[in-house]
Amino acid sequence: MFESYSYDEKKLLQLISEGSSYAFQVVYDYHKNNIYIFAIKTLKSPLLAQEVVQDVFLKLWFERERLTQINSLENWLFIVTKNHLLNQLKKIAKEWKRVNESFLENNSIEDLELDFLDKKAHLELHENAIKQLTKTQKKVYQLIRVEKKTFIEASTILNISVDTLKKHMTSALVTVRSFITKNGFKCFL
Amino acid sequence: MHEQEFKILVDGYLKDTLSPEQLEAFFSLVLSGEYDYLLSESFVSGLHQNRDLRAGIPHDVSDTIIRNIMSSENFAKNTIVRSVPVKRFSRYLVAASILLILISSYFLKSLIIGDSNLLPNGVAKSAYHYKDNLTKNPLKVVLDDGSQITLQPLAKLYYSVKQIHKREVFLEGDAFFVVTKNKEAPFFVYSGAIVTKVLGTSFNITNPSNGNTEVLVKSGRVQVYENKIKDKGVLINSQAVILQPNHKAIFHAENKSIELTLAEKPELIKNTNGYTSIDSSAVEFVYVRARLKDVLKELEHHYGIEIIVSNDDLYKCYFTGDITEQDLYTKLKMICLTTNTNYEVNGTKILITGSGLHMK
Repeated sequence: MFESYSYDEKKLLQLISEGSSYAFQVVYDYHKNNIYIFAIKTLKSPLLAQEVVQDVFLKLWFERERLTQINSLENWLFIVTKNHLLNQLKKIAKEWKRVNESFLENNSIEDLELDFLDKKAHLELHENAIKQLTKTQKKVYQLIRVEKKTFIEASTILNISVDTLKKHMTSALVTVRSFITKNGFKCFL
Repeated sequence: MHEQEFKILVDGYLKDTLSPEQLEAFFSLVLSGEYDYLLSESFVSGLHQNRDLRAGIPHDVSDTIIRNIMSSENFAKNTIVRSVPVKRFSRYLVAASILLILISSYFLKSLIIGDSNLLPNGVAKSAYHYKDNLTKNPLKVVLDDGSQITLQPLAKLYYSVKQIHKREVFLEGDAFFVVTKNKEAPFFVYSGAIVTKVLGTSFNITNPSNGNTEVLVKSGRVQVYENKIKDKGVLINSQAVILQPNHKAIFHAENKSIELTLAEKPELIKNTNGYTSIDSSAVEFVYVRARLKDVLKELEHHYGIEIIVSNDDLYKCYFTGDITEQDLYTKLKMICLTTNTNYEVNGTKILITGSGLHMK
């Protein structure tokens, strides 16, 4: 359907660099789904994929004055997206390792501490973070984090494999952490 | 591990077909950072191939993202001072305020402050904190980034709530700024018809009642330019000037020009690693039959102001005297009197002219 629009990248770039939010919206609409879908594939989480889309286009808007110097907007977008995905994937990998280790050693996963927040604000923030999770993620998170069940117990309760459970727990943790770091800062301000 | 094997893992990861062991191996390799180039490659090619636009980002989410992006910018670029609509609106405001004064003086006050042309129209007021100084003494405001702003009585200030990408404040009245250094996030002061861009420094902004705006730098460097708009709120920066300590920029409201000159009372400065600031240590200026060349050189050095002579012969004059206590211009007067010369301030330079008294 987009082919029917005249999508003239050079012209749009020029307009965006002059501050046209309309041209920005056209470019956003043209590329957002593509980036979003690939980000979901890579990060396995709609919320994290949304963040990637937002961060990429935020960068585009902030740097619009310099855009006339680039040759291909598509390449620019993909490179920025790629860098974001790489960073996020590393976070996920780290989190997955942590989940895996805590499973092997049967330890509980340590909490993300935000020293500058008092207890009440911290709890509130945490609750809001949990609201961002999908249904299964929420259940997994609830069982392991709040009720302190072991991975095996939790997998029996939810009737899923331990590996699936680990995946859910990983993306739940990444989501919660990313929400808390972003919004905790806001709270602080 | 072979490149090809890693590529298979990436492919499997994207398609969700990895076994737990493979997943573990994949994440370990991702964390090692060794295969970042391969990941990058496959991400970029994945982005290019992925042209299935049937499914995608939900509409409400998509709208929220656009809104977030637009509001995070605070519409800083539209920050222009006296555009016609604003003027018209303020006229209505006066009419409205006569009615309102009976109802609530407090409400009126906040209304006038809120809609004064300090904050440009189209800017979300919630994105800014407001502070004014209704006392008779200077009032210090400390921003989240550690920057300090000393508001003189009657000064009003809006500063952005989040100071992450770009630090911005809107000032009416007089204030002294000590800005925390942050090369990533330049600090902008919108005041009257000018914008002052800073990287980390201290300076004074004054708005005398004649409508002019003055910027005087104490340390570091700042850039001053006129705040103008073309249509649709696009900003053109015209006439940017760069100020150093003891330099002063005066924006003349009448002919919209920026004049670059020197402070009325230049202060002693020092230069540490290319960063200049006010020097509070006592420097002595005592001369006994010193060549004017050396005297001027020392003044140049300690005030950071270029002093030029109209005629090199003047350098050969002698000067004797103690001019430690005097301010720069009095120092120069004394020098000129004893050497039969004159001085004038020419932009940010001082020019010494005259025939000079040549002593043996």
